[in-house]
Amino acid sequence: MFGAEKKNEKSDNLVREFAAGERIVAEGDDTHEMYIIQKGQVAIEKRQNGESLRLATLGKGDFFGEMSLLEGLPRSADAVALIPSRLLVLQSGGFLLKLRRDPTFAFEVIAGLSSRIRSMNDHLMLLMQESGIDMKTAGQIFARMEQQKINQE
Amino acid sequence: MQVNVHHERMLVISDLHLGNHLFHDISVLDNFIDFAINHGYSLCINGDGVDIMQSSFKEIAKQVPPVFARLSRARKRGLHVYLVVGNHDLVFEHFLQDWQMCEIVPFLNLNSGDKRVRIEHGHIYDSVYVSSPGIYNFLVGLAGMLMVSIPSLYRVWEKIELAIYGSDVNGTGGWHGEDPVYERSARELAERGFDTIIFGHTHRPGVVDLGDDKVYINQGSWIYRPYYVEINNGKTELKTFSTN
Repeated sequence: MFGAEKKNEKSDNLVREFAAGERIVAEGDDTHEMYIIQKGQVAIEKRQNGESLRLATLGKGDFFGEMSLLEGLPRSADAVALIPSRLLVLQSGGFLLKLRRDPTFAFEVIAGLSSRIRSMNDHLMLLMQESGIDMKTAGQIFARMEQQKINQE
Repeated sequence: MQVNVHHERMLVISDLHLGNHLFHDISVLDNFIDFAINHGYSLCINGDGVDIMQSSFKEIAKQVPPVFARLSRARKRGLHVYLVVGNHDLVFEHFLQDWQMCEIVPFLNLNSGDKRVRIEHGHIYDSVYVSSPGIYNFLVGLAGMLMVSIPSLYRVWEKIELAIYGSDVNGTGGWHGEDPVYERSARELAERGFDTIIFGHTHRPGVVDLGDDKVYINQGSWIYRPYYVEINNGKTELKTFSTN
C-alpha cells in the first residue's frame, strides 16, 4: 500500500497523502479503490514498450480509479502524484455511502464518464483519419471486436 | 448544461420566491441586478427564484417579467446569469429553460481564484422534502395560505426565531439554528475538494467555519432581507444589500 494514511473522523473516509513523484496505482494492479483529489495534482499515464503516454493531468476535485471500483478489473493505467497530494480514498462500500450522503457526486461521476466517452470518440475519429482507415474498414474492425467480447462472455 | 464554470467575480442570491405575497420590495432586487451589471459581476440565483407553491400565476406574471428583462440586460452585457434549480422552481424548469433568460443548472462548481466553490440550493438534504414530499408540499401550501390571510404571522414567526437563535450572526443581521444535516452535507462536499459551500433553502443565513480553511455559507432568503454572497477571486463573503 502506498502513501501515508489517515481517517477523516467526521466522515469515516480514508485520506492518503503522496509525495511528488510517488506512484498511487500501477497499471495491472488488482486494487479497486477510487480516489478524489482533495489537494495536489495527479498524472494518469499509460505505458507501452518502455514509453509512457500522459492521458490526463488531474487537479483538486477531480477523481480517478472509478473504472476498477465499478468493474472490479485491474488498473488500466498508472496514477502518479506530480506534486504533494492528498486524496480521499473510496472502496465500494464507502462509495455507496458517499452517494447517499452526497448525491450530487453521482451526477458528477456520470458526467465525468460521459465526457470521457465523448473525448474517446473524438480521439478515435481523429486516429482513423490520421491513419487513413475508412468507415467501412473501421466498421468491420468494430464488429470483430464486438464478436470477440461476446465470445469471451 | 455546464456545471463546472470559471468566474472571478460573482454574486449569489437565493430564495427570492418571486410571486410570493411577502416579496413586496421588488425595487431592491432591481437595484441589486443593476449593481451586478454596473460592477461586472456574473449572477447566480441559488434556487427558489420563482414561487408557485405559495403564490398565484397572477402575482408571478406581475413580478417575474421585469426581473427577467433586467437579467436579459446583464446577459447582453456579456455577464453570465445562472439559476440553480430549487424545489420551488422544479415545476418551472422546462419553461425557464425555453425562455433562455439564464442558464439552468442543478448546481454549480465555480472556480474563482485558486478556490473551488459549490453553489447548491440544498433541498436534496431536506429529509422531510425527500422522504415525504406529500407532507412537505401540504405544509408549504398551508404556510402559503396563512401568509396570504395573515401576513403578520410570518413576521411574528421571524421574531420568535430571532429570539430563539439570536440575531446578528457574523454581522449579517441573520440567524442560524438550522438542521445539522446541512452542515454535515457541506462537510461531505468539502471532503471532495470544495473550499466554500453555499446553500440556500433553509432561509437561515449564517457562516460556519469547517476548519482547514473551508467554510459553509447559508445565504438566507430575500423574503426576510436582501442577503447575498459576494465572490471575488475566490474570497467569499455573506453580505446584506443596501442601496446606500
